[in-house]
Amino acid sequence: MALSFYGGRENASRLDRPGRRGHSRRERQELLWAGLFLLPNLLGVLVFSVGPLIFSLAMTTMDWQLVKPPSFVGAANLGRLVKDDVFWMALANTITYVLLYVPLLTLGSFVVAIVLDRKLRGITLYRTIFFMPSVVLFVSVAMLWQWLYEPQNGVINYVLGLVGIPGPPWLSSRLWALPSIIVMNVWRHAGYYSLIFLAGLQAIPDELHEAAQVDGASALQRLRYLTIPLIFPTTFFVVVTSLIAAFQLFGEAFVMTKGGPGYATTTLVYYIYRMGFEAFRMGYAALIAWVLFLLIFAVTLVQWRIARERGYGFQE
Amino acid sequence: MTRQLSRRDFIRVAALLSGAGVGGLLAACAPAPTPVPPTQAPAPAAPPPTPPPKIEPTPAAKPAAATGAQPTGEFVFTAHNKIETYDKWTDEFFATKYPTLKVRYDVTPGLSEYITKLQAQIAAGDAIDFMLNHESRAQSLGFRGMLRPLDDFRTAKPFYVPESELFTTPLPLLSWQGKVYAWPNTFASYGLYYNKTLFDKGKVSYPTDSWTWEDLGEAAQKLTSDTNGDGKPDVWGWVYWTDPGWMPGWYPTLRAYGTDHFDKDQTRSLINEPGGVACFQFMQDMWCKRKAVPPPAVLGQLGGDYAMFKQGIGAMSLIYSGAHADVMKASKDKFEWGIAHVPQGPAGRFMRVGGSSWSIPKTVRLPEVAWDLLRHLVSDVPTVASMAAAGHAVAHFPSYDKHTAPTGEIGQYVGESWKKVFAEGARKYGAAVNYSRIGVEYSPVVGAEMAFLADCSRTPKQVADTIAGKANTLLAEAK
Repeated sequence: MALSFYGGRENASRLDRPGRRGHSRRERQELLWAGLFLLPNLLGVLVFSVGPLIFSLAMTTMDWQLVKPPSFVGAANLGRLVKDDVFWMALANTITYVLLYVPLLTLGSFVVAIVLDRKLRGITLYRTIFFMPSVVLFVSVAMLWQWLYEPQNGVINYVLGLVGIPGPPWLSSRLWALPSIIVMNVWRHAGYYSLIFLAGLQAIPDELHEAAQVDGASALQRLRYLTIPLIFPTTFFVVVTSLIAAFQLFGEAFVMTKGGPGYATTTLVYYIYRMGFEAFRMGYAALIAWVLFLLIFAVTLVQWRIARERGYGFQE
Repeated sequence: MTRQLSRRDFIRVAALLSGAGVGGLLAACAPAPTPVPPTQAPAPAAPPPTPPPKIEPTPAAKPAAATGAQPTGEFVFTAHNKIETYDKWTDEFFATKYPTLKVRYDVTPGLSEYITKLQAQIAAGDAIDFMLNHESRAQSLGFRGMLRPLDDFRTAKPFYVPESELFTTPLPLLSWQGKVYAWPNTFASYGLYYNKTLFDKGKVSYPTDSWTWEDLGEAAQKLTSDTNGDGKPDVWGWVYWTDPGWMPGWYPTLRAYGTDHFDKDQTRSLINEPGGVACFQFMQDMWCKRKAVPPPAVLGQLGGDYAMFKQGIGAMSLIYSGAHADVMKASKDKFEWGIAHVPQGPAGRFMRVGGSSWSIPKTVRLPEVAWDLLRHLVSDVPTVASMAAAGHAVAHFPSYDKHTAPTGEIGQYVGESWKKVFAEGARKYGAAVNYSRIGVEYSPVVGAEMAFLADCSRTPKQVADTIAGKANTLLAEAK
């Protein structure tokens, strides 16, 4: 198959003309210019993506503490990984986070989007308010929620106390620390994803709703049989992007809980950081990073397959 | 005319251009040949840490003003807090001896973050001349080859005072393979402070020299009370272990119950031996059975152990030797207080001493200046006396005794007990925490596992076994 740089102005491929070898001077010049224009991007991809990818793969077989030359250890890092209970806890925490966060976020954003889709007075203001958390600096958000979660004087426990519920020490309880981070992140990101849902909802022609209404469909039926199927591509996008982001949870665990209490909020990325930059086990950290990559890759492949079967997106 | 480009052509051109580009980039990024700073020889097979040789009395020599050719440029001083850069005295030192050098204080708040950043900087070859180190990290940073041994400097230019006047107890734990990698800059010690008013109210006898940890536990239980009737204690018998993962917090107890973190040769963990389990049992009982100490989360939210003691809602705590003036001020017209020896256990009495230290990183640019600064801050008598007078627990005993001891009204109030506990006791019972060569990784392991002890979800034996198992793996890997 030929690759055209000229958007179909030409019809004949060089391969269609037997007997001719090589390029004309002009063609070569064009090739050179094309390559030169592509060079910055290609360099970026090679230096910052492909290179580190290959390098990190090689690192998985090495013991490298940065200050000393790396030494080849074969599968020793893999052997350590299998026996490392903190890695398994980090993996379990990451999966738990993904399984709870992504559905909650998707559902929450969708509900917010439906509310924001109403023609209400001051709706733009409401949309701005919902969107604001996603533009606030993360560390500020973390500090704010640390205060909210404070067991003695925090607003959440104060409100719970008013109705006679003794609130737990949210961030220092092994049971509640991860759910606390999930709730905070749903709040933080729901505004952004609700805007995406909103765009999807507004793309549904009003005529369809009107027709369904004329046919006697209730609001719930219209939601179930009209809105939800029609915004599947939007839902798919939200799930894919939020899922990939969820697998990379780090900042919250680092700033709010330091991976604790115990290992309750130690996620794979936080563990990679700890192994790489605290313990200086670069090879081992690289191996965990590859495990994470393969995990995300596998989940994304499954999602692609589902989308293809449904006939949405990523068509070849 | 055809302008179509085959995939093969495209790849060929792209690869050619990218190769040239990458080559050019690498050439541009290649480090210029620079003189490599002298570093220690690579570490051979690891024998156990041995106490460094003592270099004894040396002629005191006041640092002279700058003469001759002067080094120029920047002197990089890294630390995790501004206070311990002793910037006033450091600036004075440079103004007098190296006026052509400009000091840059690179302060990264938070010990863990600081050490993480520092390791990356050293690994990247950043020039760092002088660093504030910590007992929990010093030996492992030396073991990892990130620091320069101080021995040659120490021999070539000894301290201004005999080393017997300096705080050297932690030196074996700041050394590796007989080489010293950090020098103590503070003589921090922690004694038992108690609130006499709460003891009197609870009709409990004050701590005595014969007190054991069990006695402390019993007293703490009696002193814990709910004064406002809401069903929750608001006065606590024992306010300590805000962060159970902070190893110095329970090191005196661990040693008193007869064990340590590691054996002398650092070949195995001892934490799950009977003494270690007994220590953990005592701690867990305090949290879960006696309920005489707030859970770490509550303690943290109430401002920490020291703040709670000062507020008069904690009956006992282990507090730093230099805190007397602060406690006196806080307690004024609120409560009476006293100082006593740290309790003892079946293996005797141990008092946590240690703290920060100075090191010279591997990537030092001006090693001679760095050593000159180190010995100045540690042993130049007028300087350390001035630091001590300003409230720093300096590592020079005569200055510490003279300037840190309470005087005036506070001296009359607790002077004798302070002297007994902090001047005499600290030297008699002082024990520095054995973090070992795996300290950088061991500390977080202990920190995480102790959470299970504090929330009573695992037995002391389970916690001790888990820590020991992980420590033994780390020791085996750290060859």
